Amino acid sequence: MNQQLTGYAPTPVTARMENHGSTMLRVAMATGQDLYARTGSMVAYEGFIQYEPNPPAVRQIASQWITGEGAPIMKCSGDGLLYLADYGADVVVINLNNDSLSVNGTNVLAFDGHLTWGVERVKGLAKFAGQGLWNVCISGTGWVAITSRGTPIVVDCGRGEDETYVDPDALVAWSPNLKVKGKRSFKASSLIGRGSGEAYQMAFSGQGIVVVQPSEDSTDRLRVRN
Amino acid sequence: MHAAPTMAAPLAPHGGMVPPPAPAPAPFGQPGQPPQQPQFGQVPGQAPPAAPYGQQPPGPYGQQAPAPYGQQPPGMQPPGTQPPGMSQGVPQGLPQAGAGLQAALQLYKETPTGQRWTPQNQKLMRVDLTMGDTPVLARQGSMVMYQGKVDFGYKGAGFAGRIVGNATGQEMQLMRCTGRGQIFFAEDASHLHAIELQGDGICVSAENVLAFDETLQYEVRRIEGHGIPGGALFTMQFQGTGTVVVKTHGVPVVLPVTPTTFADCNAVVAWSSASQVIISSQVRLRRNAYPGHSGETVNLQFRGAPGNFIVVQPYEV
Repeated sequence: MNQQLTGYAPTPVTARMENHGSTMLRVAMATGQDLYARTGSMVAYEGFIQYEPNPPAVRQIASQWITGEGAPIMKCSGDGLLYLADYGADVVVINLNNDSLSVNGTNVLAFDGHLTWGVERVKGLAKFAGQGLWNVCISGTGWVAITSRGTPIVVDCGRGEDETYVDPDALVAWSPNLKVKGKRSFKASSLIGRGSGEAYQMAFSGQGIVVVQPSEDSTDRLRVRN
Repeated sequence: MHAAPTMAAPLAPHGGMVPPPAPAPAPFGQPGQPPQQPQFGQVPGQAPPAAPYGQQPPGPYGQQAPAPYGQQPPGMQPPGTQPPGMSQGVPQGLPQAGAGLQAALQLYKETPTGQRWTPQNQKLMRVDLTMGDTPVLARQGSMVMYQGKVDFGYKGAGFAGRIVGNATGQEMQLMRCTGRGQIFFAEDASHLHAIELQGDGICVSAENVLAFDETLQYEVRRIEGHGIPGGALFTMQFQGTGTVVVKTHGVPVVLPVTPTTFADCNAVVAWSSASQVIISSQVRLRRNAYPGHSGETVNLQFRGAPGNFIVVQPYEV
């Protein structure tokens, strides 16, 4: 009976964070190397791992995160293997090498505790984006895992002379040094039922990357369902 | 492909003290087969179920020799790659592509080509409006990103179009994308397929159309038949020269049209319009006499010359 399932057994650990399949993240935990992960994203663990929701440090850093009932981030510590997932979303593991990345709050899955991070409000059109665009800005050297509904795409902003416009619902992450603006393509014709369905975008300019997911479903499933 | 020992063969115990395992006892009726013979339930031509993620052939239940958590055998850890602030204990191997943000995201880079329509990955379609001068019509709200100067305008179906669309259920809420630039389309992480028409036609269910060139003509077509709820089935037929982007839930199957090609009318997404569609129904008197039936009584049958095809998605709407 187990013969067909053996192919899904864990592979040998080679790095701190690895994909298991495309939608699951495996983190090798050790004492002293804490991990911040989305609350409720744990699907399995082996070993001795403890979870602390809303640790005081997080509360202080994410004090601006006033949506809902606080920062949906927990601190994981201990020894073992930790498996994280977000309702079947693709997981992208990034090894930051003195880089920085600004990730949409719902698309953060986990990151190393020693990284520098902070929660910031996206300037410009946060009011238009519906859920309010709260971002986690992560920088330093270490591991970050982000989620994306479907295989994401990474676009280099500095390539063309024009700005890059992104639907806020499909936006996953971007380089923090990019300039962000809101752009309304809202016309009076939308009021009489003749809109194009694209009312506002975010405009990026400068040198850096933008990560976009192929889905406009940006609901926070970990928050909605738990 | 079958280099890994098949799971059905008796597994040699760990330790490597045992001589090479004897060939597995051949299944009945198949004398002399090598032990790599695929077993029941395994489709020939596919990789054996072992190691889909590139792992070693596992031992019983796929467990490696138990090592302390997160600890590698000595020698596996590349020296000098320890980032500051990390203690010992966790393997700090770097991804194959190397460290850094650019390397990690290299896999997902935009791939510009000289084409007008470029699938960026299975779920994202990029159209370059600077190639060719025709605007693109797309489902409203399906744009996820664009670069350049692009204007999104409302595209009405017209008075007659709205009447027909309402009556048949084959209505599309469209927007017209004009200007100069590149637009990325995606919706709900469904799979996208660009079908290029060169004077021929294709029938697509309207809800599976994501975008198309404005050069194409489209109209609602009716398939008559008995047994379909509502009395008839409607599809959208595209004709002309241009590209239609069709979306499917999941990986679709594209079947060539043979004398015996059938599809569920809820799962079929598209078919080449040169093939003829017939309603085939299994009429059984017993269905009325006993409770419970298979639910697969009304099907679409496709007939046509070789070269025609149908697209079926693994999702019945």
